[in-house]
Amino acid sequence: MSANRTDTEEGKGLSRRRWIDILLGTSFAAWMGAVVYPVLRYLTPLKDGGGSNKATLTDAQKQELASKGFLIARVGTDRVLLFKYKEQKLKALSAKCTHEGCTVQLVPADGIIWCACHNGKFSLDGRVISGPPPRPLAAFSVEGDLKGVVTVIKPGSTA
Amino acid sequence: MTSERDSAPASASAGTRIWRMLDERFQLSGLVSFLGHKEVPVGSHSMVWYYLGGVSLFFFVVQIATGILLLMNYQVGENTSYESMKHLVGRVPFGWLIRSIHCWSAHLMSLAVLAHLFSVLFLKAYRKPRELTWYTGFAMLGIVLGFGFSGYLLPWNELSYFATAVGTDSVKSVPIIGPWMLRVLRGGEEVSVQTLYRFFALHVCILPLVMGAFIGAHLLFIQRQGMAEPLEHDSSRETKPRPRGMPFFPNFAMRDLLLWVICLNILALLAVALPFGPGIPGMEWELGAKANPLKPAYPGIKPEWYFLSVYQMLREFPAHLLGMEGPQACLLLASILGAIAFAIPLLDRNAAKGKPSPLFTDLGVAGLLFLGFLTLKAWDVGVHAPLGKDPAGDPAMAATIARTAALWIIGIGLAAAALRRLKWGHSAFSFTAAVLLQAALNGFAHLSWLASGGAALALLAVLFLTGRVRRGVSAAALLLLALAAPSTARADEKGAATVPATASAPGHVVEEAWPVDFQKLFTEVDKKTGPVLSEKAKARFRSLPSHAQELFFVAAKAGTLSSAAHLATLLALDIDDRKVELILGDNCVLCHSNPDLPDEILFKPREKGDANAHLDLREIVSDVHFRGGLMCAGCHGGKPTDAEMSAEIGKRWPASDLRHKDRSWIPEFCARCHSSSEFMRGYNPSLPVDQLLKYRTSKHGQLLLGKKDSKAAQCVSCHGVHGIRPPDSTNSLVYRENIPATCGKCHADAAYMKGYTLEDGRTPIPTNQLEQYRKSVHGLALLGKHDSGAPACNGCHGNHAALPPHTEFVSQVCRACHAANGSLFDGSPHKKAFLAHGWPECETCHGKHDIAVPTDEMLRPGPKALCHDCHSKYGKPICDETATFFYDSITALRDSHAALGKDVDRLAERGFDVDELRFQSSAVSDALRKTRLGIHTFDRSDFIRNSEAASEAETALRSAASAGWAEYRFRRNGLVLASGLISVFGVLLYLKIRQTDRKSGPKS
Repeated sequence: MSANRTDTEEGKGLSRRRWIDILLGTSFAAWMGAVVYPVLRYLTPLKDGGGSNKATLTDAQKQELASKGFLIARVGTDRVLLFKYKEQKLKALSAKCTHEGCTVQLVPADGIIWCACHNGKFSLDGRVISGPPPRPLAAFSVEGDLKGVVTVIKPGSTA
Repeated sequence: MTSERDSAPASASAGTRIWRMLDERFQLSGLVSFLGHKEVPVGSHSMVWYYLGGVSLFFFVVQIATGILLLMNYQVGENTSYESMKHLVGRVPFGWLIRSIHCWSAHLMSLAVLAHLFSVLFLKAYRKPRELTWYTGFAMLGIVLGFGFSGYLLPWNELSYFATAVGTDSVKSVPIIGPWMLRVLRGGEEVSVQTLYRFFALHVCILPLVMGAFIGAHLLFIQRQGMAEPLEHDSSRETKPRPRGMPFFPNFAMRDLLLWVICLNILALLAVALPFGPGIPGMEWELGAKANPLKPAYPGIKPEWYFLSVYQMLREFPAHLLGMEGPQACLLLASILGAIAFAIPLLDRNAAKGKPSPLFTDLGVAGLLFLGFLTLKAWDVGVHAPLGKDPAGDPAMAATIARTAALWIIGIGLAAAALRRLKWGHSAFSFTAAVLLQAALNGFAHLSWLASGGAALALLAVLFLTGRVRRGVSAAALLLLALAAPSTARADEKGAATVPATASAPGHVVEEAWPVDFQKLFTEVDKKTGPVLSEKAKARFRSLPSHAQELFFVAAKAGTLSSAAHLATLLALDIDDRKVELILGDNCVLCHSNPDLPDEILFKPREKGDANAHLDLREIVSDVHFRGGLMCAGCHGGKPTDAEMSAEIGKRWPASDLRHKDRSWIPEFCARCHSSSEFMRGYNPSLPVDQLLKYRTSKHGQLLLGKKDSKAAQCVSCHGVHGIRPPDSTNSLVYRENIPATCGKCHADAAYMKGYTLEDGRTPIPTNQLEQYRKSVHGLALLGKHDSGAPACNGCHGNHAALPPHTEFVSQVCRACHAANGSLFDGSPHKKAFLAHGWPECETCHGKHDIAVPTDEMLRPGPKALCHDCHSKYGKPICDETATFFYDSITALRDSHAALGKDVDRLAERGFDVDELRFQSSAVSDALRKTRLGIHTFDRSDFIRNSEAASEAETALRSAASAGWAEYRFRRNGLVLASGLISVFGVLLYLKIRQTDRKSGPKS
């Protein structure tokens, strides 16, 4: 009889011990969550960390564009390829190759945009001609001309 | 535990399976068994002290973790350190929290380390064989302080810059290598960006590596030797069996963990509730302004709290002490005290033998009281000094601080002594008594801290000699006694500062060659007051070039320099050597500045004891003419080299009985030079030469020159005589802020102005203009706020051509500054109405000399009403309605802006970075100002355009402030949640500890 009671008590003790272990583990996990959450938020960069969605060319950049025919400039966090297009109008395309993200370049002699990393080739309007790039280069809009103020604006932005 | 694992069924839990897998590969059960056998001593003593080392380690781990996180945003550099911290605190999500935790944890770590050190001291845990553990611990305290000091500079703000400049400067007091150490520490002569780079390297690389090595050694010693047992275990070892301890694992380790959880909860609470510290000096880390070495330091800069005692000690030392500089002597004292604390394991021979050593317990208590007294004084307890004032500089406040600090320390010291006596039966109180005596003498007997310390050490010496202090601490006492002499003897600063009367340097006449009559004057001694010439005056003479000195000798010989008092007056003048020569070469100046000459030749009666009563040389040397090289003869005639009064003198002026009655000759006399562009070109080419022309057209000129009214103001009335300064000198009578008083000399004097009338020829000229001006918006701005843009009398009336502006032109005078208001008024319906009534434009509403600060209340009916009074007589109902509309719109904007301002202040009080909000608030203020300005159109549509712009700016501010409050609620709720989770974990851990204790037997 007493042996039975002891067994029952031990059983109760065991189950209580298991409950405490489970709760302790759970509360530890929750507590760790409370520590990890701010750290993860802290480590996540700000969305507007790269700055503006538009850029105005400096006089030096305009000179380089006029003499070389093309220019790679920064708009916020993006790299943008600017070049003289039909009828001397300016065109801007993303300079980031859609394959592995290398910076592309203009080959004026061939009239193409070329990525040296994996020989990806694009037409001057950004379409893929050959090579591994899966998507065309995104277009940026350009306002103004080389005689005045040239502003490059990221697509989809209001700025 | 092991048997349980062995007998675990095949269907064991995942945790057990993982444990088995790891144990099989790494034999972890051996480690657990080792930790399980490791015991923490248990006895009648409190176990709290065993946890302090672990708590210190916990805070250090928090420091490493948060430090790494801070590194991901912090950029060291002159142009990036402060900016990156500002960005981190203001913009990076939870950046404020990481920084706040880092700062709080730093302070709590220092506190824990100090508490750990003192607990080891009181429990005598440093005794053999644990001396090395004490030494490494002591070194780690130094490293922790180094962490605090180096980390303080990294935000590169004003506070950190000056605290580092002062802190590093003390290094130069180290003998021989001090200056070199200072340069190495700072990376140059001054605290600069090089210092920042060095401190950064020290803080994030060198110190952590050194600290890691020391922690490793410290823990290794503890592992090898176990935790120190209470002293009574040593003494009772032979009579009683050693009591069984508490297993380190899991019982003690889980308690450690529980305490860490509590510490973390406290840390989170403090970090969220007070993100910039509690605001006590030495415990605040608000970013404030960026460091600017060229900006003067402001009073009240204090180091971190753990350096306050040393900081205060530095202030208690005089400039010189026993041939050493004050800081050097202080450094010596601090080093000796530090060395005694470090060497305690060597000094305490009784504890090393396992015997009680009560004197070292007392030494520990006394040490705490000693540091506490200095810290309280550094905290300026007992006084509320106004911002920007250092209370220690005021003797009355310094006495209050010392008294309050002494009261606190004596109270605490006596309570501690009573507790020790009654609870533990302690009988050694010598060191405590000495420290309390020092506090009492310093606080109540107004004895200096050092002299009080000397007296306290003398007491200790008496106790030592009478055998109260036992052999165990004799070495420490002797070391302290060695300091008694320096403390009681103060160097005579005055004596040290005395310039030795040695022979003069080359370029000067050697003293032996000075003429006897001059030497007599030079060394004359007054029977009552001592030497007539001060040391400063003597040094000034010795520094003069030989030809200037010779001029003095000549004057002494000629008798124009007749007395020592006259010589003292000449040498006290603040002029360069060339000007000294100019004065000494002019007999007019020498004679007329001689206080020994009879009163008859003076311009004014001499006041008793005034050496400058006759011709005030201080005025003469400040005169713009003298500074340009024009001496007496320039105006008076004669020759400066004449020894006697020349007949030439006075010929240029009317006879003396006439020239005082009729002053009309003065303008012409001054104009001899001032109207000549040829002449003035040689002195001040930019000065106009049309003053006389203008003066003739002025009211004053018309009266003086036309009606021969000598009461009318002329050149001397406004510019003075013999002390004429340029108008930009603050001492000039025509300096902008002095003009109202200068004009008021006549215009505010009713008796003087009696008989003068306005243009109507009947109304007397009022004499209350000065009184009214002082209370007006212009007077308050110019005289109260020193706003040099505010007009004085001449701003509206002109200078040399001073005329009262006619009614119809008054508004043109106002428009000179208030152009925008004028142009708005021109297009308003009021313009026509005012013209029709012949009212002056601005003056009608704002007044003349008594222009009050305009208030919004002027717009609505009431005691301050302005619009309503006129409208009720001359206007239509719509006029009043418009005024009420203006009032309602402006006050609505004003009140909500004020409420938002308070909102922003409350956010700042809660530790938010509100720079952006304040910027937006100033935009609202600007828009509100424009709205008020727009009233001058007296047109609703124009007004609404401005008020809508203000409303928009206010809406933007409101939404930004709301976002701030949302962030505040998020922080508060986050804290409650995190704190709740930590608490639940803590409670469960406590239950687990009890469960484990029950399983392995009850423990204390």
